[in-house]
Amino acid sequence: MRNSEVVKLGIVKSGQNKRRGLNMKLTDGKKGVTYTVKSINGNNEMNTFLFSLGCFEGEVITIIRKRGSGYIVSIKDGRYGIDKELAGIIEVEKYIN
Amino acid sequence: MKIALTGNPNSGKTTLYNAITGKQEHVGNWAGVTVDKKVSRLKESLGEGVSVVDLPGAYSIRPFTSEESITRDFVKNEEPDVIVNVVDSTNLNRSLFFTTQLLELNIPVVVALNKSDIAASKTEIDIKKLEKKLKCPIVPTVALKEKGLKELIKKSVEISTCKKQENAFSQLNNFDNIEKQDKERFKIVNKITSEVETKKVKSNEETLADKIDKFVTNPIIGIGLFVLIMTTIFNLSINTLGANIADFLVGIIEGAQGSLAEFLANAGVNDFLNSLLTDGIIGGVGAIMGFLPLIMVLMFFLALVEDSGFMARIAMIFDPLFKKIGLSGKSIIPMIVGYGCGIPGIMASRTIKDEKQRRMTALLTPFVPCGAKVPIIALFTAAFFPEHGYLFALTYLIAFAVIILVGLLAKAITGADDVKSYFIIELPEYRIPSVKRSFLKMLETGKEFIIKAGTIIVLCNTVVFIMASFNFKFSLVEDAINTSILAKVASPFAIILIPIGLGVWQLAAAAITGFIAKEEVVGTLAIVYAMGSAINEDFELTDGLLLQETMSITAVAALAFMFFNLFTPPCFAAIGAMNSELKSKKWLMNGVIMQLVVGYLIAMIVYQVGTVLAYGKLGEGFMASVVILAVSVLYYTKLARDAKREKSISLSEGIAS
Repeated sequence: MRNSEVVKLGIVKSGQNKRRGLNMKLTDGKKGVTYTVKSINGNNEMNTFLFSLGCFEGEVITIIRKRGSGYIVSIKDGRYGIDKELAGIIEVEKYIN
Repeated sequence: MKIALTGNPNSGKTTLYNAITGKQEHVGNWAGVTVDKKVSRLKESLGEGVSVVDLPGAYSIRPFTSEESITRDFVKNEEPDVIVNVVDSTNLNRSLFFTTQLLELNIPVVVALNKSDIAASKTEIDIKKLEKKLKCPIVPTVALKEKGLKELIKKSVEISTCKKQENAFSQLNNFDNIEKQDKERFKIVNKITSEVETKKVKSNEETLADKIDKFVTNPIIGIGLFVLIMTTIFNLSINTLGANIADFLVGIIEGAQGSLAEFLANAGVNDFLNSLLTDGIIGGVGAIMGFLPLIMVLMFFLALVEDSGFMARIAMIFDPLFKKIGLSGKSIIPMIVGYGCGIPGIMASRTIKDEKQRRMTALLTPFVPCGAKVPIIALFTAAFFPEHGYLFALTYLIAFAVIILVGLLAKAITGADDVKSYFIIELPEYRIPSVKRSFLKMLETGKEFIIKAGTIIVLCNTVVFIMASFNFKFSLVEDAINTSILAKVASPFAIILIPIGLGVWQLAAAAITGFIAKEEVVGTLAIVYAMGSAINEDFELTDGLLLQETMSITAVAALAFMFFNLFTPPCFAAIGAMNSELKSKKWLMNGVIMQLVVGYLIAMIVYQVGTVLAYGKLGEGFMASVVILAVSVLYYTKLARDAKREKSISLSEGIAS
């Protein structure tokens, strides 16, 4: 396969994945919706920190507000302001009650 | 007996600490206020011989930030007799994670279920059940209203005799992997909270606070709101409320000065001594004291804003802007603290995880006009620009612009590329700010100011006065003229200041004493211009002064002088604080030089450009200033190019390897 074809396939696949809800990040999420955390893909320290707040695999997170300049999320009973970069390392899936 | 206060950031530890020790440690309703441990004795009414330690907030005993490691180190090394775990009842689940870790340390633990009044409207906690599960006593408290404290201390003293703490979660020791252990820990905590807590309001539903936050954290609205609030505060402090109180105070001081002079003269006291006491000490100190009401009113309103919980939102609002200069929104918090005093501001930069960002923040914070600089700003804007009342608030805006500008320039030199650092800040509950607490904080500021005035400033003024009154042959000279010691010493420095329009030894002397304490600039000016406590908005009172000032410097030069004092390195104490935070002599030296250069260049450009624009002629030392500017620009470009080259070298090395 040629390089451009590989890239195109990658984009198509990623779009499919997004629609299937695979590899979905918090940045793909919608305001007011609750998600279940699948994994945290940051550096060790950020992963540990988020963990101590209760943000890790299996726990829920809700987007209160979503903007390019920043998100407000609800984790356990707390509210946190985070930036887009941090939202990008939180992998989620739709919360099923 | 030693009690240690630990808990999540914002749980109310410091509020509790203040309440049980009677101290007034800084509380800010945002995470990262307490950066170091504080120790004090318990109030006599609550117990004797008990010391209390307030530790910085931590989410976990495994440290992420430097404050959390203080908690860990203290608890592991200094062995308190009792650990009081302050828990925010509105966030029980997250708080208990840390609690379970504390219970493993084999030190008796008492849980203070704080903010129980707010929690009551959101949730119901079965305390007896929780006590059984944690195997430690639990006391509901409202630290803000001083409720439950006696009970808390009583329980703490009781169990301190136990010397042991039963570990309710010993099964966790079976896990060898920390990650697995912590996951299990949360499982346990989840189970406990589901059994013990009944939520009345679902925590992820939108609340009124959320609606407010959506509005407030919009970048444009947020910054606009911030500017509006700050301008209002300044207006109240400088132009109306604060000014009125100041006038009153100055009137008293002037009166006292006059009567004292008369009294001493009648008592036959030596003229010089008389002058030293009335003009030098009372006059000099009085000049500064006249600004105290302004500063105190300013502090009061800032405390109100801090207490409301708005600060964390401000950090969020400024994050996009600060990212452009290689920092994050967190960096604005030390700067806001710096409005009060630069030293705690610089120390607050400890909360920033990334080393480079922390250092940059520590170096940029001093550009914020601190309380000590208020007399300078107030004096010069009132004396030289009396019709432009907005200039005071504008100065703060200019300072902010300088910070952004210097940040941008510094980013190019230090090659601070877009480091993978993430921004996260807890948004605490909004609350109606406590007038009482803000008032107490204000009094505390006043007390510190008066102490500083009574010691360093009096000393400095005395020295300056003596140096201004004698010449090197130690004979008295006329009020501070060119042959005095001070003039001779300051004159060489005055030469350096010619390109910025201040080639007058009086101003050079004032600027130098400013390094001891920024308030001293005004104090020294009072002495060398024989102004005494007649420094207020009504300069007509002292014609001689007005004449002298206009002879020596123009309004533009006055502005340059003001900026010079604002943007050069602050007092030695602040440089000391920078030294402890930067932890590197190289950074300290470069930082101080950077601040000197920035202050000088800004003053120079303001003076030279301003003189041309306002008076249509070239300022003093114009040629020299052009040379200085050219050299600076060239040197900066070289540094930037070097940094860029280094960056591309390391990049290519990275690719090659």
